Amino acid sequence: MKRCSFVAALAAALVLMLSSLALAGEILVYTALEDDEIPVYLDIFKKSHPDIDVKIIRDSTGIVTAKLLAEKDNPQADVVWGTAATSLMLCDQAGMVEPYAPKYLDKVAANMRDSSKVPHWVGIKAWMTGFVTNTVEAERLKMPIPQSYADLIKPIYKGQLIMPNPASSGTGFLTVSAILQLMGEEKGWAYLDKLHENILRYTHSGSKPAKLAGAGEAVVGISFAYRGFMQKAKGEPVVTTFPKEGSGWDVEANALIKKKDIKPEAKAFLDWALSPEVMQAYGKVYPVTAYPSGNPVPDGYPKDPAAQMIKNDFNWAAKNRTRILKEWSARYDGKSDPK
Amino acid sequence: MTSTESETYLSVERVTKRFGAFTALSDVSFTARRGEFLSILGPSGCGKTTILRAVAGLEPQDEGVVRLKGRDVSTMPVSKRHVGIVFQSYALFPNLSARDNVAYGLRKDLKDRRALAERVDKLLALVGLEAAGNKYPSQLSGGQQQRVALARALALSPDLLLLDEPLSALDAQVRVMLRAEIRALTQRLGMTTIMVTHDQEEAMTMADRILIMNQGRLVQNGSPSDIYEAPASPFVASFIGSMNFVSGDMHWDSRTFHRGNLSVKIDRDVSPFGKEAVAAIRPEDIRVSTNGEAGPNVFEVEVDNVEYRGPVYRVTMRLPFGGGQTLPLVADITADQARRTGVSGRTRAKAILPADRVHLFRAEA
Amino acid sequence: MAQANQAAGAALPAADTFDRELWLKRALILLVSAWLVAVVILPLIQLLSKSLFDNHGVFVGLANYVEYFTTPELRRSIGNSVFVSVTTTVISVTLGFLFAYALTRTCIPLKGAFRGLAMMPLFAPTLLNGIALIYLFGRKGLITRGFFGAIPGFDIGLYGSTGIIISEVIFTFPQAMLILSVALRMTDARLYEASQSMGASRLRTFLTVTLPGVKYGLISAIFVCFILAFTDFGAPKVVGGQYNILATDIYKQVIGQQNFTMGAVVSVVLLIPTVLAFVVDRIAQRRQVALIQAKSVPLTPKPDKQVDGFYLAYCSFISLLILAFFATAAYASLVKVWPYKLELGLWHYQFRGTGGGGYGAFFNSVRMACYSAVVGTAVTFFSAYLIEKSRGMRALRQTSYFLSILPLALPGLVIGLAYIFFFNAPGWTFGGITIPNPFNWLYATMGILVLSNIVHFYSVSFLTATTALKQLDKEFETVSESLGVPFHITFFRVTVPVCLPAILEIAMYYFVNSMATVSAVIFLYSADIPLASVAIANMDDAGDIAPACAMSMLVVLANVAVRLLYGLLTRKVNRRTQAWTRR
Repeated sequence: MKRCSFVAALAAALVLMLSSLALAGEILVYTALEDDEIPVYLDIFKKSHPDIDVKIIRDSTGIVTAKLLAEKDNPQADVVWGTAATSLMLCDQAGMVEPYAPKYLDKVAANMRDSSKVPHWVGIKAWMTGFVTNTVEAERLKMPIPQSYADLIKPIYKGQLIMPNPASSGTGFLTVSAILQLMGEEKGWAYLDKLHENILRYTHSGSKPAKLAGAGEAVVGISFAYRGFMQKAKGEPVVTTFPKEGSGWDVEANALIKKKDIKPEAKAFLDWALSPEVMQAYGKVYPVTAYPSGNPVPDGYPKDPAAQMIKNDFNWAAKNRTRILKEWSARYDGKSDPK
Repeated sequence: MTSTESETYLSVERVTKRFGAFTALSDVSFTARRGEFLSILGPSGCGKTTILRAVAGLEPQDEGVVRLKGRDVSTMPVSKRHVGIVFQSYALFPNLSARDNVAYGLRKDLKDRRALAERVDKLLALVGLEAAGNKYPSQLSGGQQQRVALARALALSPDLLLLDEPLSALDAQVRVMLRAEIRALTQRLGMTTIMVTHDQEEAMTMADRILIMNQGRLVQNGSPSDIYEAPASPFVASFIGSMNFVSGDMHWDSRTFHRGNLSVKIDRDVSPFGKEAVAAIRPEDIRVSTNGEAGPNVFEVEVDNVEYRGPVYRVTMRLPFGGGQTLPLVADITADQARRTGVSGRTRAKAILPADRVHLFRAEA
Repeated sequence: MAQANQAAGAALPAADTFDRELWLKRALILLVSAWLVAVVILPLIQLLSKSLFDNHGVFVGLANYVEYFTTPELRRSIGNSVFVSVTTTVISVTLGFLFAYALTRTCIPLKGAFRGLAMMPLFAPTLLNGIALIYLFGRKGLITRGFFGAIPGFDIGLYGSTGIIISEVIFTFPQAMLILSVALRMTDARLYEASQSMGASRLRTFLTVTLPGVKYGLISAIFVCFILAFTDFGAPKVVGGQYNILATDIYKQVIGQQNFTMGAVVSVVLLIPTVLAFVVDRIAQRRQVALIQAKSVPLTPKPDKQVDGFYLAYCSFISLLILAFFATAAYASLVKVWPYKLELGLWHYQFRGTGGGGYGAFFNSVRMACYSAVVGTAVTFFSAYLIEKSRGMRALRQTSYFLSILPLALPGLVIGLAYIFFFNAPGWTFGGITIPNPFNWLYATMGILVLSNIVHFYSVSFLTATTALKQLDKEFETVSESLGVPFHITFFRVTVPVCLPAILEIAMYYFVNSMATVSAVIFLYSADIPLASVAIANMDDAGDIAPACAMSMLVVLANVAVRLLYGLLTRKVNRRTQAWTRR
């Protein structure tokens, strides 16, 4: 008898230990927002929705996209938050998106949302290419601070540039997409070939080039503006510049995932994600938001951020994304970070 | 005690055990009376431990029956057979004191701590270890460990005590002492005991009856003196004690054994078999003489060597049987005899083979 | 007569012939085998079959393999992996041999300290090896920049094979050292006396006595180093740069591109050499059995000024390197902005604004390591006990034994990926009949993480348990059976107390490895349960190297703490054990 009870106790202990905690009022959110942004916004959410438990899976744009697509038949996420619109278009094409018109939709600028009446995705803000240069290293190596795409292919930068891999990074893709749109495909690829000569390595994350530049592992990180400003605030010797040809940009957008039971909490989250309170927080660090946040343009950005942004054809980008990435991988994949 | 109980307490009937293609036991049968001390003796690999394990229920036999107190226990697990076992290694639990080792099997039946302590005290006293109860096995001498193992095996008053080479790990002196002690203890308790050993002296001194095994078969079953005096085969004869062997022809009419020009008179009650035979004599039965003794079975020999062996001298000789050929012969003579005869190496002497001490075996094919 | 006997036998009450103990043991061994099949074999089958289907679940045969082998970048990884692991193995085994030799065959002082320092890398996630190297040899590394310009620096070109090899050597060196120490300690002193008495030179003695004596240890060390280096992806991920290897390819395919099918294909490719190495090692180990049985005399080293001096210098040098390595990591984790603002503080230990889950992740890892240690030790030890200490059922026990050591050949990444496929599958359809997956509920829970750790580190623990159990008298079970004491009482009253040192060692092994491992769990953790080692990987991905370094230091600290606790407990146990072993 004792032996039975021993086995039973062991089994009971196992079951107790392994049982998962499935609680009501919980949503799973996939996002590509920056790690240091998320807690700031979520604190705001917590104040107005203390009962909703938000689980966040954060990764680079390309990885969030791949994950969403891989889970197509059995979607895990309830909501996608702050992920590149081009990626959400892909998910939409795969039939994964449930159209939803969140509160405050009427305030959103036309170029920041899907044009359908009940939109498939709604943007919250735009982010754009920026060059993050380590001033100490640049001075040591007597390198000028790059001001344009044209600067980047100068021989002086050979082995000193780090750039995100467009296959996994949203920043990487919007930069490549901008170059191809600005220069046309043929000239664009020729430019990227030359750029490749100067690249030390491609990272999978869009923020890592900036961080590596901040740590002096490279001189210039092709990244996005927000990253550079945050690092400067932390005390890293970096300066952020914008290519004078115009920055590639994308909309960080939200979407509702189509699943069997769409939780009301998911809709509540999407409503909140467009609310003036959080828009105000977005606007503190990003100049272009879904609708005016009421904040002045954050320090370091051009006076008219909208003018810095190229005329971006999202539909073209989304439609050609797979082709561009395949071509890119075939040409340059040898220098990518693992992942 | 009824008569049937005294006759067969344990019976092993036609037991066979195979391990794959290897037959470890082949058609082994024997019985034991209540209180009898059996010793199973044989060279290593002969199956003696296997038969012990079959009796214990540790290696159930493939064929045959084991009966204890008239009950067929063949399919009973060891836990139900009510046997006490002492292993060569003693298998004492190293983390338990001598007391706890002895008490190990008692706990489940004796819930009362006082009664348990009393019983353990009694058992420790039985093996003479009253004072060592609180020591751990590693703090005990080999002999003491052996006693703890014995007390533990006896704790549940088993129907049968099984000893697997119980003394082989001990020094010679302790071994001799423990032989007598174990024998006295089992006698006092009237415990039926089977002991497996490869040590003939141990078997001879302790057992009521010895079972000799060879290659999975029981080759002889008898009292120590039967086995020594009347070995059933050259194997038994050479395994127990030592023996001189000579092969030759037997003339049954004249009761003489011939090899070359040698002829040995045999005065022993042996029923005739074929002509080819093996004559044998134990070294201690040969007499050696240096005076001009004559008569039947007195042979001229060349002494090669006389070796001092304490109580006896071993004389190595060559016995000529014609054509310049000789047979090796060894004799053990007492110190007294050696002094009186003055026999020494590289001399000639007479060897006397008493006609009633010569054994005869069938020549083996 | 015979018939009557049989009738009498048949008439006995069933209770007397039914061996409850035996049947219980049989059932338990069967359960052990079933559990091993469920957690090792079935997931592997699932992984294999996955590699034969395309991403839409259509059977394509070997088409995925054809695609794999016709993609030059992927194919190149095989060569890279082999190159990196062979180089690592050669360096590690050489360094480990010299170190082990110093610890076992010379009279140098401070052996305990050297041994302790050499074992340090065992407590760290391999990601830390890469991270620390960045701080030493990266473009802004201490060495590259000559200690912030104090002395002339030099750039070793860290990113790529160089960085991977250095990291893997640090990772595998302690393993080689430990295995070879055991082998060198086991050698028979009499052989040396014989060799010396015949006037053999030192080199000749080394070649004819020392090397053959540790042959099997050497094979084992080579096998272990090769497999560890071949399958690790933590360090290559951090310092591999553009140098692709198989382990990072799996990760890239699965996490980066969510291409599970190609991940499965690369996993199978990764499995081939590891399984081969495993088979070779097993054959070697089987031969070794005969060798140990001879009673040998332990070798007591004699002082020799020259030799001891050389080895003291060598051990000091290696220990200092390891110390410097960890000190650099510790320092870097405290520096505000490397290499520009060298103020010290705990900024990076706050994990504010970094991914990965911060302290929540850290304590999840501690929890996971505790569960793995407790459950893993119980399961492993009890299974080893059943397999080692039962009578009969040879075939079943041998099968179980084989299944128990099989995980030795399975890289963590393969276990992780196989577990995704196996535990996430809703069910299986065979000829129209669908069997729902009874383990599906485990997916994305703490349970699957603990399970993956138990399986990942099962074999070494199992072998430790088996070795300890073999030292116990094989008749303990028989004695208790003959005394009518159920086996579980003897298990708890005798077996467990006597094997307590081994049990503690197993628990520590499970804890330390579960804490540091990233390979299996990176595929299995869920958003609810972030883990420290995964956080390190994610922070490194995002470029937050300093916080990644800080998290690694926390893992090292937790492991060192557990190691110290283990030392304390072992001392206590030994003091108690001495009561029964003192003469």
